[in-house]
Amino acid sequence: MPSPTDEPLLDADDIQGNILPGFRRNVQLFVGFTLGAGADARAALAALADAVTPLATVLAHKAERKLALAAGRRMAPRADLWVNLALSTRAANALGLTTVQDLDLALAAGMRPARTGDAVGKTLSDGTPNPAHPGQWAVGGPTKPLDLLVIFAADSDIEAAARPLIDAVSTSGAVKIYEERGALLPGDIEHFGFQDGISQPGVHGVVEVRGRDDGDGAIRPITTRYGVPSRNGLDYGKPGQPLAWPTQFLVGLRGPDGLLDDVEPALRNGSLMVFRRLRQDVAAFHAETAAMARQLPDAPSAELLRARIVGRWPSGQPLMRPTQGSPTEPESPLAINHFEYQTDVPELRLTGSATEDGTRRTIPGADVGAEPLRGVRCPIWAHVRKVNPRDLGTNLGGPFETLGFQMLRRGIPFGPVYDHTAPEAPVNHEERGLLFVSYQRSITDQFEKLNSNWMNSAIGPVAGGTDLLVGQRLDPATGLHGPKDAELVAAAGAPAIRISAPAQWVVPTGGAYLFAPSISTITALSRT
Amino acid sequence: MTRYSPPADIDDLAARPTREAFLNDWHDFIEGEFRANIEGLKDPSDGNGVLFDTPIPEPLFFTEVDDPATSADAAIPWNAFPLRIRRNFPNDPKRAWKDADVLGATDRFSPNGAPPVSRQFRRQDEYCEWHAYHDAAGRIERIVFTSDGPEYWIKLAAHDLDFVVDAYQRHVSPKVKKQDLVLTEDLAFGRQRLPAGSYNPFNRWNTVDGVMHLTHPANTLGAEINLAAQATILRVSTSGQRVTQVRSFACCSNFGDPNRSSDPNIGSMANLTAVPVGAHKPMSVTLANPVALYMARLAAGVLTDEDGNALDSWFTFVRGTTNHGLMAVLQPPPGSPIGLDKVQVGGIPLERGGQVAEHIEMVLYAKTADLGKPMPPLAPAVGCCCVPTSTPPAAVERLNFEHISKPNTCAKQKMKEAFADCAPAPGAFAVLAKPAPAVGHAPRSGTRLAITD
Repeated sequence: MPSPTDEPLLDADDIQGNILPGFRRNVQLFVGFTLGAGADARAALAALADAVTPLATVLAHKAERKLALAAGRRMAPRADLWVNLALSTRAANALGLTTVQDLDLALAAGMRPARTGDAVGKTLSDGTPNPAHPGQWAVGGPTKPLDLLVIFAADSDIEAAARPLIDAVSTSGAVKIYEERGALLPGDIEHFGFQDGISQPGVHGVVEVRGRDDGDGAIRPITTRYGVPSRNGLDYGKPGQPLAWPTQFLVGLRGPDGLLDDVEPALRNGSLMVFRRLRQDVAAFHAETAAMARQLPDAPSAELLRARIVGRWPSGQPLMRPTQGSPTEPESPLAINHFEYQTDVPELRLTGSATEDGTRRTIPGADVGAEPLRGVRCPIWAHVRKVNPRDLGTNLGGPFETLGFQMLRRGIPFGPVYDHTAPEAPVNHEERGLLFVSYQRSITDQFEKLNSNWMNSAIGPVAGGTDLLVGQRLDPATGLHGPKDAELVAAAGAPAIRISAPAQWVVPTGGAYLFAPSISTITALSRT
Repeated sequence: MTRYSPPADIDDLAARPTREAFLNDWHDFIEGEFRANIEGLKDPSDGNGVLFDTPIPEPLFFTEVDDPATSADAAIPWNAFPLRIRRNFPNDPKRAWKDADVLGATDRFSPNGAPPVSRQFRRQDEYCEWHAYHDAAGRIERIVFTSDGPEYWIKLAAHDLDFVVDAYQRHVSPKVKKQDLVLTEDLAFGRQRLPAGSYNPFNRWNTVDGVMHLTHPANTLGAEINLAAQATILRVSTSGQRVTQVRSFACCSNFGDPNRSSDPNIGSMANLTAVPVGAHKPMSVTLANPVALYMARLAAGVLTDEDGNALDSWFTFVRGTTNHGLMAVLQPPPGSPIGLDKVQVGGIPLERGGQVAEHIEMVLYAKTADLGKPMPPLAPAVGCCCVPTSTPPAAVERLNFEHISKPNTCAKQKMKEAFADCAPAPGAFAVLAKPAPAVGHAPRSGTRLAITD
């Protein structure tokens, strides 16, 4: 494992804090603007520049949160408002940052069905407008171009706190086209009821801690190291959390080979952002998975089928690890990512002192069970296996190659919790879903690989079916979402059973490919 | 008993008098490749008793001529665009697309004892090659993609050169003449010697001026069979454990090229299908009949016009079908008011075939049977992968490796091992080198090629 001095030094005051280490507040407010002909992009940026929250602030908060967790305390709500922003290539061009579009072809082309597999049919089979068609999206697409996305984060009263800044941006001539509140759901679940955001790549790199009592000038890793032994040439943060080089997420830095990502200096410390407004149909997910389960030969519980579709139990416990007792009780947070798909993982003895729950020092290993390549324990098409195939060989290369596809995911649910006790309750007719956000160096090589080459494909990363949870299969004849098929192997030696998800439970209804500049660049652009 | 069919079950010589003899010859050829590889696993020696690998008395690789497979076809997928080329141009796909269109040259097909002959080939090494046909104004008229193995066309021409000429005229250009397609000097191709006057797989209409079938020296059906066979050997790491990491396994073995999407994945899948991690009982593995490398499909929706309207129907298989495609053509349908110059791939104007290849899913099919074979031994490595000595550990995996067919020899190349996994056999083999091929200079795929690359 590299010593801290071998680690790249990241500029904690220059990198936006939602990129690293990621906003983690109770509520977030996503506000989108179109910068049309009458807008002053520079003025819009100037309204926000002094408020943009850096990595340093968010990392300090994270450290406080961990201390509170270790002490068994609840974090006291913070009063401050965090702000991050991202720009379209059109906005960047208007600001004179014309090389942004050269960073990545996907960014240049923009989020469009030809890259994402989104629906192209304008009307549904009943003749109503198709909300999944980009022309009818809630935000983004050709009719509501998203040029500036501002993400506010707070613990409460976010609208009131953000309003002055939103108004200030609007005075620049920017037209507000979108405002949506995201909020953590109780238990950190997403709307289908599963723990979310469990598996995130760690990041090599350190920052210098400044201006704080707990060690001014100290060098701290950006990702906490839990003393996981290096394995197969990889270093780890938590067990099962390999560390990626920051060049995987940030623009303009030096890679592990010393080579510079040679871009215009103003782009340095920026990141390419994917924003997707994903609407979730909770009622259909539950009803249709129940019906699918009933039709299977061994009639598994709907809960088991849903877990197979996700690859984890709602608690976050992965199918690839043994379930001790009820699956509602996951193992330690340090254990639930310690698994692979084709190779047993050994028991780990952590050598560091930093454990999240302060007690576990030994993490049990996990075997892959019988016929792991057929997906007996965790289906080949399970969502978490699709988007992070870990040790598997894939259609796009081996595990080191595919580790490079991993993104920093910063999504947060929107809409009210579904009331399962009263299906006809008015709240259940409201929209709900996920405000998906990812940061990466290359949208083409990261988000789109996971989305288009894997989730939407029946044979990627491994043949066996489409991602029934999030993948999209378009019917070429209609341009609408069609049923998705997968092969379920319920037990070792059992033949594969073809199952089909009849509808799209997760529907993109907005989004854009954007660039999140460094804070110094935001400041410079707002002043020139 | 299985009779091996032509790739994609295409009956090219239907109703022609040459058909029966050709089909018999094709079956014999494929069966022969299987048997040669099975025998090679049993006796990996150079004919003089010098071993270059661990003998496997009862190989897990089999032919359905001997035993039927009992499983369904298992698809092994990979992407059509060369990963090796992509690695060379991180964050710059346009340069990668352009580079992939540059032909290479090799003299590896020179017959033994004859003056070297250079042959051009496409450097598109993921078993999918393409050629863009341009009009007089330099605009792309159509792009043709192939995954058809060269052996098929060599055999076909040996039985019915007239048919091959006709096929070239239909698929490549009406200007093709018979004399364009024949060799003017002998050529070595695998175990064959192609005499002057016979079909030239590297003819101008299949290299510079068009495409009919694969040309990269490693893009052969023989390589596919060899890869699957070799991959049934289990390799042991320096720590005494079985090597299962997909790229390490390719490095330690003697098949394919660890720098591709295809070979390491195919090898790893064959290896782990035969002997899953922790299994106590192995399965035998074979390639499904008909043996071929296929284009499965082009990802839906990536082709559009400038307004974003889908043009999926512009990409059609003209040999084979979806999931079993051998030749595909991207061109406007008859009467289209727009040409390929108005086509976009993922929202980017079409300029190169590589743009499309990035969205083509390749596939081959394996099958298994429980033939009661014993668990094979963990064999020492017979290869290794080398990187420049200055390469930091975290940067190793993003590089293309030198795949050397002798383990533990990177230092001799003034390089270092990419992985420490590949454990050589201490003194087990007198000479850890491959035997000279029976004819020609051609080693199996994956060894260092004397090519302009």
